[in-house]
Amino acid sequence: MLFNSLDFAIFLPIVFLLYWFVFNKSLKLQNALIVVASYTFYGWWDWRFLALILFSTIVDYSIGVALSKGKNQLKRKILLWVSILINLGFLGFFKYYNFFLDNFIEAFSLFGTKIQANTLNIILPVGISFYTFQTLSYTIDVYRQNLKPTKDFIAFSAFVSFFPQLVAGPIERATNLLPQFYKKRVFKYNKAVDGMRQILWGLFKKIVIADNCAQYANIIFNNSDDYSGSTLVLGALFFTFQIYGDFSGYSDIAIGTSRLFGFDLKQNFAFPYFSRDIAEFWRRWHISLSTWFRDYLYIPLGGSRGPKWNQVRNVFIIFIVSGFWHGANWTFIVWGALNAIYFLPILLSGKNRNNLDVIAQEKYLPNLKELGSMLVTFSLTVFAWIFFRAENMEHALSYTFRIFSKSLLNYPVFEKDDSAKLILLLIVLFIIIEWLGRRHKYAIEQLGSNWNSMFRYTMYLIIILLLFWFGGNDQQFIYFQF
Amino acid sequence: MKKFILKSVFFIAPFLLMYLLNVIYYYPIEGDLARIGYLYSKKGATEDAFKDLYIEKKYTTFSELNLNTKNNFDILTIGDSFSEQEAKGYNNFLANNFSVLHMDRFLSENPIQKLIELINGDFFHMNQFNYVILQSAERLFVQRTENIELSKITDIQTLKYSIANRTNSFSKLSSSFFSDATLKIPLTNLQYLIYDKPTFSKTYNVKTNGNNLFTGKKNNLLFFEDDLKFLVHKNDSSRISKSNVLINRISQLLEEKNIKLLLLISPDKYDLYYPYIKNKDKFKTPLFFNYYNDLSKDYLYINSIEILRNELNVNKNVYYFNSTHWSPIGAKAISLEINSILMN
Repeated sequence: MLFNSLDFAIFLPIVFLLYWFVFNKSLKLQNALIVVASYTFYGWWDWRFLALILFSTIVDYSIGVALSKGKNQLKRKILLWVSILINLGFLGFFKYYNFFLDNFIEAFSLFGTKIQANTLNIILPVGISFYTFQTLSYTIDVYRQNLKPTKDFIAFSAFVSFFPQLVAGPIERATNLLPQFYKKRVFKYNKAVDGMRQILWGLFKKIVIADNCAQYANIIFNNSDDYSGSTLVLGALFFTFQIYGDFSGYSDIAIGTSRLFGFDLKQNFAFPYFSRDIAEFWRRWHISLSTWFRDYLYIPLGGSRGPKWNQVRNVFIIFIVSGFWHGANWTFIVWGALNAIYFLPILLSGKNRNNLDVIAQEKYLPNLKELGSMLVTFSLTVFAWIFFRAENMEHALSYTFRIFSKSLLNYPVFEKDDSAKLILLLIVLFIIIEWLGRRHKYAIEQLGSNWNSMFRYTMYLIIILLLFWFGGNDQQFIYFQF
Repeated sequence: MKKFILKSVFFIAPFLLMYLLNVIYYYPIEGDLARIGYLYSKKGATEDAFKDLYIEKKYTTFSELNLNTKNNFDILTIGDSFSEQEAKGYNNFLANNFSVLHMDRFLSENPIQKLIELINGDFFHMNQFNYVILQSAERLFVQRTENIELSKITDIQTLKYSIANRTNSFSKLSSSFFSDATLKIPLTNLQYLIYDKPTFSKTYNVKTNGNNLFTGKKNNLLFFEDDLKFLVHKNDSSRISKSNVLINRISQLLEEKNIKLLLLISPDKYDLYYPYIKNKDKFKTPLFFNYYNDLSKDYLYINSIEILRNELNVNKNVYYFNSTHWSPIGAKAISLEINSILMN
C-alpha cells in the first residue's frame, strides 16, 4: 500500500479510529491491532512475503530471550551470529544472489574459465533492507546489554512490522521504539496535529516535488546520449530533488503517521542540501541508516581512532557498504566510494565535526563563506547522484563525460522543457520554504505558527490544492527497491 | 480528539467527496467528448441506444493478415477513428456484401500520406483491391493534404516491423486520488452550469432548438473545440481546392493499378448539427462542405453531410451524444450509400 494512494487514505482513518476508540482499553489490544494493520499494509503489496517478516520476528524474539538466559559468553556470541547470519542470509539471497553470481562468472571468464550457472528470477521483498536492519539492531543491543530483551511477543512483532516505517524506514532502534510499545499511549491533540502537518509536507515533497522532477530526470537519464552537457546537468539536478523529495517525503509521512498513534520516530533528514561539508551532509541525510552503520560497523571497526591507514580503511568500508546496501549494482558501490573520497580529506584534517550547528543559525541568509561551502557540497552531492541514478557504470561514465564537453555551455533543451520551467519554479519555492524551516524537524513545523489561524489554514489548503494540481504523475517510492 | 477529527475532516472530506463523485459519475472510457470535457455522464450512455447490437466484427484488419502470402479483397479502407469502430463501423456494414481489409490506424497516422506511400511501395503488388476508401475526419482533412511527401515509400517490410514493435500510445488520464482530475472534473461540471466551454474542457456543451437529436437529451449538443478552432482551415476555399487536386492525383495513381478511389470525409459534429444550434451568434457558419461538394472530382465521392442530415430528419442518435463519432445509425447510412455506389 502506498502512502500517496486512496487505499492508504481509507486504511489510515479506519486503523486510527479502531486504535483510539475500540482498542484503547488495553495496551495489548492496541499493539495487536498495530500488528494486524501492519501485516495488512504489507500484504497489500504481496502477502507471500509476510512469512519472511514473521520468521525474522520469531528468530530475533527467540534469540533475544535466549540471550537473556545465557551467561556463557561463547554461547551468547554464537546466538548473535545465528541472528546475523539468518537476517543477512535472507537479505543476501533476495538482494545480492544474482549480483554475486554474475560477477563471479565474469571474473572467472577473465581468466578463460567459463562457469555454467543460471541466475534466479528473484523478487526483492519490499522493505527487506529496512526491517532486517531494525531487527538486527535489537539483537545486537540485547547482546551488548544496552537493552533488556522483550518477553512480549506482540509488542516485538509490532516493533518489527510497525506499518508507518516498515517498508522504507526510518530504521528505528529497538532502544527508541520498542519501549514505546510497553507504555500506554494517550492521544495528544498537538502531537496529532503536528503529525498531520508533517504528513502534509511529506506528501508535498513526494507528489509535487519528487514525482514531477522524476518525469524530467527520467527523460534526460533515459536518453542521455541525445542531450547536451547542460541538459544533463539539469537532469542530475532534477534527480537530486527527486530523491530528496521522494525519500525524505516518505520519512515525513512515516514520522507523521506514527505521531497520530502516539509514537515518536527519530528524524531521518535534517535539510541535507544546506550542508557546508560532506561530513555535515552525512549527519543530515538518511540519519537512521548513517547512525546504524556508525554504531554497528564503523565504531566496532575502530572508527576514527587508530593509525591513519585504519581510519582510511574504515571510512571506505562504511561508505562502500552503505552504497552496497542500496542495491546490487556497481553504480551504488562507486557512489559510496565517491562519498568516501569526499569525506576523507575532512576526516584526516580533523575538520569532520566543524559544522555541527545549523547553517546561518541566527540569521536569515548565509554569509559568503557559508554560501560557497554549501554550493560546493551541493555540487559534489549532485555529481555523486549521477552514479546513483545511472543504469550501470557505462551509463554513468558516458553521462559524466558528456557533461564535461563543450555543450555544457549550451542552453539546456529537452522534450517537455516548457512544462519543466514551472517545476523549476516550484523547486525554488520549495528551497525557500525548506530554508525558512531549517532549524526545525521539518520545514513547515513552525511555519505560520504565529499567524492568525485563518491564514495558516489557507496555507495548508494551498498545499493540499498543489498536491492535486501537480499530482497524477505517480512514481514508485525509490527506496522501496532497496 | 473530537476537535482533531473535525479539523481533519474539514481538510480531507471535500477532496474525498470530489474523488468519489468522479469515480461514480465520470467514465473516461465512455465517449471521447465526455472524457476530454471532464463531463459527468451516465455509465453506458454511449452504448445504451445500441446495446447488444452489432457485436461481430466482419472486416479484416491489416495487422491480422498473413503478410507472406498474396491477398485479394474488394475494398481497402484507410482512415482515422471513424474507420476503427469495429463492429459498429461503416466498414463492418460494408463487409456484409464485400470483402474488406482495413489498414490499422496505428500504421497510418495521416491516412492520405500513408496511402501515397503504400502506392509507391510493394503493398498493392502483394494485396489486390477493386476499391480504396480513403476516410478522414473533416477537421483534419485540409491539413492532412498539406506538406505531403509524394515520393515517400512504405513497403511491406516496414509495415511488418511497425506491427511487431507496436506500442500502446493512448494517453491515460490519471485515476489516482492525488491528481489534477480530482479537482478539474467537479470544477468543470460546475462551470458547465454557466459556460458553454469551461476552462479546462475541450468540449462545448450548447443548447439546440431540436428536441429529437439524442435519446434522453432534450436540447443539448456536445462538440469538440477543434471543430470550431479548425474553421480557419475548414473555411478556406483555396486550401480546400488544393486538397481536392491532391486527391485527384492519388486517384490517378490508383487508376494506374486498376483501383478506384472513394473519398469519405466524416463531418465534424459541429458542422452536421450547426443548423440546430440555438444561439448562433457566437458560432461561425461552417462552409467546408459547401466548397468541397462543388469541386470537380476524378474519384468517387460520398456527400456524407447530406446523407447524415437526411438521417437526422428521421432518426435520433445519428452521432453519439458524448462522442465526436457517428453512431451505428450514421455509419449504416454511410455504408448504404457506399454500397449503392459500388454496386452500380
